[in-house]
Amino acid sequence: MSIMTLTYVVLIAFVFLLILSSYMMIDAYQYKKKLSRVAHYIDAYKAQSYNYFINADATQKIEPQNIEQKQAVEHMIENYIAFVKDDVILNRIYRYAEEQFEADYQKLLKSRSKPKRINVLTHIFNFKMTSLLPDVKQLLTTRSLTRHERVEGLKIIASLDEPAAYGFYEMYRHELHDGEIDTIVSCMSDDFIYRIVGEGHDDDAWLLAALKSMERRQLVEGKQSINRLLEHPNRTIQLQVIKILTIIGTMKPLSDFESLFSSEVPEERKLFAQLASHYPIKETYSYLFKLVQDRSFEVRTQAVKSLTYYANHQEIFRYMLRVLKDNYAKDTIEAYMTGELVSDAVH
Amino acid sequence: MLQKILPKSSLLNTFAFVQMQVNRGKMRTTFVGVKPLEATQLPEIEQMLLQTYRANNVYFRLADNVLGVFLYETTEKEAHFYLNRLLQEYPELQWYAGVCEINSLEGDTEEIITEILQLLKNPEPPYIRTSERFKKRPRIQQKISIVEANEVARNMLKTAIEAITVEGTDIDIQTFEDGEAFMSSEFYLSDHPHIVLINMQLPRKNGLQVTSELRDLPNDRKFTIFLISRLLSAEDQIAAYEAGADAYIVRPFHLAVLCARIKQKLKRRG
Repeated sequence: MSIMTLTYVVLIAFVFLLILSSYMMIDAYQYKKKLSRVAHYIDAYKAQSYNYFINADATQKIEPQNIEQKQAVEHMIENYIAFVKDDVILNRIYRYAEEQFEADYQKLLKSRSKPKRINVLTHIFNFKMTSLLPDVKQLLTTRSLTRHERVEGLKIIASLDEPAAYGFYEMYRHELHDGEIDTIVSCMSDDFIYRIVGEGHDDDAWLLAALKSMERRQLVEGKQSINRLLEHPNRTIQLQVIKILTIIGTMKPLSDFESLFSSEVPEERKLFAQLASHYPIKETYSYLFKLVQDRSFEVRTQAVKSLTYYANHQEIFRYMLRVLKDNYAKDTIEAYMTGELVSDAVH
Repeated sequence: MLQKILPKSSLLNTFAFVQMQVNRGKMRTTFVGVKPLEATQLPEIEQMLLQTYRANNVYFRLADNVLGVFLYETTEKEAHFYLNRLLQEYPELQWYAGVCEINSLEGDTEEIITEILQLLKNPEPPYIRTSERFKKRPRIQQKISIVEANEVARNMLKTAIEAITVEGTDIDIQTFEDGEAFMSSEFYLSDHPHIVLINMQLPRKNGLQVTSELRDLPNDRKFTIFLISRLLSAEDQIAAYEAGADAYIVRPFHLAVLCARIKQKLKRRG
């Protein structure tokens, strides 16, 4: 290549970079200006939005006139939703969002821009916009979506149209991982979670997600259906059921769970130790005495923690400190006795 | 009966009582002095006193716009009884009580009256002792700090808490955007009862750190700490209570319930 050609190439590249950086600077400046306008409106609407949404003063309703005003109101009501759960306030916000944002969001759902679509899907979920449910369903069935969009869409259906959620989930089930399924199912109501567990859904991933929601929310009804699932062929589901039983208790004898006590998996031995705290000390003492000397720190700690649930645990600890030779076990017991480790047992 | 003579609106805060107890051996004479702030009220007050106190054993002296009522052979209890009736009707009244010892009632009457008039002109201790029962209660000062990074939430909480009113209490509310801003202010330094509403997740110095630091202070008992968090695991709650929080509030929360809890705390602290 001759020097002249090279010079031209460099010059063109330089001009191109100059134009590109100018464009980016202008774009950044405009974006910053837009953000400051939105911030200005947020500040201006502070009192009015509180009076309308929180205090239910209908005369203070905000009627946004431009896109920045809408974004300001959007920002405020999303933050109200994140902090308050008074039904009266939430219902007012949802109604307002349907009224003010439905048309815009409907248009944005058809946008070619993925970030815009994901943004609007998040808003539809947060504002529980049932009027846009058909549009979301259509989006899920007709469009090629990113993973994130699919999950957001499925979350919307799970929260607004529970019976239809499984059908849509089935379309994408092979693409979703466990965490995403958990997220989708966790959007469902307590009643529907009980229903999935009660019917013993034949989709293991769906059922497992429902059981995890039960555990997280500490849902304590449906003992019969839970106990039935102890016979489930899927070991993971069995273990999840046992986790729930450590919260709600069970009528089954402790000996039914002995396989956990002698399991090679520390997590399973720990579960056993947790479950044991629901049984009388005379049944559990010999097991817990051994688990306190377990090779796994987690199991030892759980065994000692389970002992703190018994009224005479101090006496048991003092005895164990005298007879045990395992220093790790003694350390763990002492940590509970001195308060270095704290139990959540209420005596 | 009292209301007919003295319509409340016209006479609240318009006169002061002075009760003097004169001890002479076993005899006691209670003097009740009434000094209206406006002389035109005198006839009404005289009427009231006549009807309030027993007709006998009563002696009136009028001097410098003061109505004096001598209640002969009256115990302090009886005098209080009459005063109580009046004060039930007019809780805004302030009254003063003092004791002076004299040897003889006759000879020293003028002396007593002079002393009383002096006191009414300039009611300063040690002559005037205000009865604890009737002393006007000073307003209680309490503080509330809202430490929250989210501006919308911060404003919402402030506006909601500003709407709380507790009788006899002045509430000073301030907001901070993080733990660092709160701890470097002087707002938490006074001895007034102080409710701190703080988010566990903050950019600079989180809620747990602030809670621990406040509990390390010598006068930490004045603080009531409400920790707000989006996490609801038992471990997080235990950590919060171990740090010294009084309440762990998971968001989203019921705003009305939170305000009711804060109001209850303000009333009890008051």
